[in-house]
Amino acid sequence: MTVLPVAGNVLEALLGLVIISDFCLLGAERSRLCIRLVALQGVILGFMPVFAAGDGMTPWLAVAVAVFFVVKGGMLPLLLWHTYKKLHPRAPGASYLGNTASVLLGLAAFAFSLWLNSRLGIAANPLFSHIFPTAFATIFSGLLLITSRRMALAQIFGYLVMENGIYLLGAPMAQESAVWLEFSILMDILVAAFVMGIALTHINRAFDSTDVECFASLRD
Amino acid sequence: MSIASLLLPALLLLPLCAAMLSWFVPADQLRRAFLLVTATVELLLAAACWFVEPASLGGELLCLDAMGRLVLSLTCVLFFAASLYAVSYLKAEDPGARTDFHQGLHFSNAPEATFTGCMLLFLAASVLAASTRHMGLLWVGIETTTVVSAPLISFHRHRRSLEATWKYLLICSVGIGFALIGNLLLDIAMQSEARHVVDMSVSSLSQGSGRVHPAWFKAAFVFLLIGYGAKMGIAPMHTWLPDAHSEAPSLVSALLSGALLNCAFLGIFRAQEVALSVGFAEFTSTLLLAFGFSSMLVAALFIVNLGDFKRMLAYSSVEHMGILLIALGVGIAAGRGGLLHMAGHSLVKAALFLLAGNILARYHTKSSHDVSGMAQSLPMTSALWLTGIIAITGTPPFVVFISEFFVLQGLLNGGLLLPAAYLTLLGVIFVGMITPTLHMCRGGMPHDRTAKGGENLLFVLPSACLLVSALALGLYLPEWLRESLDRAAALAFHP
Amino acid sequence: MTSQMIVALGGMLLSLLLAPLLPGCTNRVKAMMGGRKGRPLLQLYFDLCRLMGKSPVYPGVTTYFFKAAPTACLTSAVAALTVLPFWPVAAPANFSGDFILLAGLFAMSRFFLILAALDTGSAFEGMGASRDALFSALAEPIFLFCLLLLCRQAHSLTLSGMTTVAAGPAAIQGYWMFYLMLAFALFLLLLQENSRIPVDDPNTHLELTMIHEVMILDHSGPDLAFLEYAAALKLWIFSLLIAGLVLPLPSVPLFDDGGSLGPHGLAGLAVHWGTTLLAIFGVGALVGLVESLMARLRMERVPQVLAMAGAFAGLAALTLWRQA
Repeated sequence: MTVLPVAGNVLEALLGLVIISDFCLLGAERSRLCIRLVALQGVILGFMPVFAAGDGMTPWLAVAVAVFFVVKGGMLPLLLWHTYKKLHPRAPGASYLGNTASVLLGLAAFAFSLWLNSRLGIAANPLFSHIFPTAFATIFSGLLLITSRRMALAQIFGYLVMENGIYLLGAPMAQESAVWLEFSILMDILVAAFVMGIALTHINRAFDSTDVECFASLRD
Repeated sequence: MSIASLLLPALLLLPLCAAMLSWFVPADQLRRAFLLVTATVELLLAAACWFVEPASLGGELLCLDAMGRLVLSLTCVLFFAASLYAVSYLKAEDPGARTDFHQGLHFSNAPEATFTGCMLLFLAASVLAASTRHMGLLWVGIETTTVVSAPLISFHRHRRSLEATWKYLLICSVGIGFALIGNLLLDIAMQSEARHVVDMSVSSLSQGSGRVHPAWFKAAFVFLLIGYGAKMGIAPMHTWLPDAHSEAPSLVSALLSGALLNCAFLGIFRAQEVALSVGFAEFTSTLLLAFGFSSMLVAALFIVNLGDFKRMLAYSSVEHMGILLIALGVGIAAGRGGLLHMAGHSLVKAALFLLAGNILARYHTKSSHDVSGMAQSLPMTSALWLTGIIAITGTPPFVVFISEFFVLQGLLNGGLLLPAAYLTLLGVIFVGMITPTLHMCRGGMPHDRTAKGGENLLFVLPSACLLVSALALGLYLPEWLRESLDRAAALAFHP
Repeated sequence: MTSQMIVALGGMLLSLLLAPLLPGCTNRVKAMMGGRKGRPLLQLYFDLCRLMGKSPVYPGVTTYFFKAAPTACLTSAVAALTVLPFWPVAAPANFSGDFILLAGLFAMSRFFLILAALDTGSAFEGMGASRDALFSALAEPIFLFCLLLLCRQAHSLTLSGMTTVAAGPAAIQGYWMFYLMLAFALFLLLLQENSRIPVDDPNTHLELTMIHEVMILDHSGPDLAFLEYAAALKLWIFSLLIAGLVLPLPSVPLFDDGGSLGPHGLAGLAVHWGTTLLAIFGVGALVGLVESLMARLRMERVPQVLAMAGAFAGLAALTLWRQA
């Protein structure tokens, strides 16, 4: 029997899972499902430095993987869950566009990412060209979630999905010398999500709702 | 250890530690004093940077060049003025539940300790952004300013400020996310082989002219421009700016407009610095000019007949950020003027926002139609307000006039169309701003508001100092400052 | 008759024998998720035996179509099995374009079932028929699109050539994302075509919300047994198709040059069939998992599931384009 080279196939499958979770997020209405999907994405992304390392794990990289697991797969979803519990959003997080349209837009985004990748040309790092379409499609789905949802909580989901996409984009460039930078970026995102959560609880207290329709008093 | 090597860590750690400590200071009085002391020491440290060249740490991770020093000094000056104002402002704030004068709903303030702590953290983040030449760390600094300034905007927890905070958080976070993508693409553009590790410090990026991948580099620059541009309030990504600036407490608006926007500009400045050295200045300056003019246009369209004096100041910020980008796009001919403009705008705009706070406190309205007769009820504020508006619209002899003139001079090198558009937009904005101002200062007092009490000197002193310095810079530009401006401009302004 | 043919027919026989076990497996998973003991795994076998022993009852108003439907459904399901390869050998009948026959056979069985439902003149059955017609009309192009993508990827126009094993392990190399997307799309189609949650609830007792169950309300005796068996076979066929897509097993040369079973043939065959059966029942268990975790969707949201399936098929197409 032939033995398949595992890493490439597993990476491909993981990227596929990321795309699937993007689309499920675009199609999902219920916040609980969205939180689970964001957590799933975080866990999948936690594996990425392993592929970027290529020629072997170093202790630092192992620490990085562990930290990403804990923060992206654990802390951020817990934070979301906590916020969700506090808010008790009554209406489901329906989309202005309708689920079918957002899923189809996600498809268009993926096609656009592929086109962009071919347009920009081959990068020196082959892994990057490989990951680019998935990462960009994830960023687009995050943006789509932010712009098309009524519930403010879904905008935090969108922000996190977008950051996941950016993280995926940066995964091929992960290098031991810059682990501190990745940690500080991760820290910033964590704090940003935290601050958004706090802002949302205050908004919920002031407006009795977190529907973005309420935000209409400031305009020219 | 010499002073030079301690200077940058001290600048960074002082506000950071002070922020941590401020949460533990029990008494409000003490905390306000603490804030003022920190601001003073930080200002002195920043001043020391002009006499002693601070040593770099970790390559370019912590490294203060001429541009960084300029931004750092401006930030510290504004922060000092804002904390001077904050002492009396916080004293006047009623901590209990109050009624919102606009919508008639009850609200309360955020805890004062949080406010002070976030202000100090904001200072630390801005200092970090100014004192690094590493693209990654710069991003971290600018992103941190977003996160820590959001609680400042929603200090008054009423509906409008929360709405503004949410917009600010979301738009700026997404914008900053774009800048991160830009940084990653920059990394890719500079990679010559698969496992090549790219040093993201500006100098080493600038040396990579031979091996840069053009398409990826252009994409990277576009992302950086849009990302940091969103944070800087460049149209069409400016939508958060008028909301946040009008709903934040006035001293926070002053900091946002005077310090935060400069930090975001620093991001674009660094990107342009790399673009200049790797030979893409032609491509990038077109983009910069386009975004610059679009910002001026949007500001001119909205500012006329706006009817809200804080939003008017905010749109004026959009305009001036546009002028900064135009200067960067024009190149070295507008170089000194561009950076002088950054300084002038920061000083004057911060002063104006602080004055707007005084007007708001007396008249309880942000509508410029409802404010009149300031000359009688608030004589000092009124005089300063009029002076400030005249200064910000680019009237001689203030520094903004000089710098806008430099930019015009630079634009004149490339045909007549752009200078004509530039002058027209400036004219429209001048009329749009001066009309409501005259109404506010002159005119009779509204009958229901009696002039009660005098003006607290502490409320006008910071603005007065800032405006005087803007006037002084307009009349006389010291040799050392001119030399420093030229050195900073040479970094990113293309010849 | 070559030994290849014998093995292929053996696979088909295995399918015919084991198909009623699949709904049992799904039900068992559902029961376990719900904390119940559940009915026996072989329940469907018992039901089929009992029904076969009874004599049919026909409503007075029905005509020929009502009687023909069960036979037509079962026949088309069995016929579909002849073109579907059971790992790792080619199907008993394979010719270029046979995948269109597969879709056509599904359409035929649905055509007869809808006619039979309309034949009774019952309002409920007509409603079910109309829903089934709508949803399957939406699903069929996606199904064909998925199969066409497989054709393109395997450069083969037969179902036997499309499954990964026939194309060899090299085919799947670097195409993981493609196969994953396609399997996901086909799984959503499976839920729709077999009237499972979230499209339709097989256990519901409310005629208003049924799709498939309401159409066979008036059938009884052996007719009902035929329909139940045909439904089980259809679920089996979809599971087999998905299992053939996602299993990254390398192929073993089962047959020597003469066309008879090679030295490792029997053992290899046992391993392959074992894994395939495991994968099929895995799909069945997954259906059970989905059924116990999700609720039935509102009728107007069902097309969204199909849109999702279409989107995933589109994604698969895009990944294929990227690789090209």
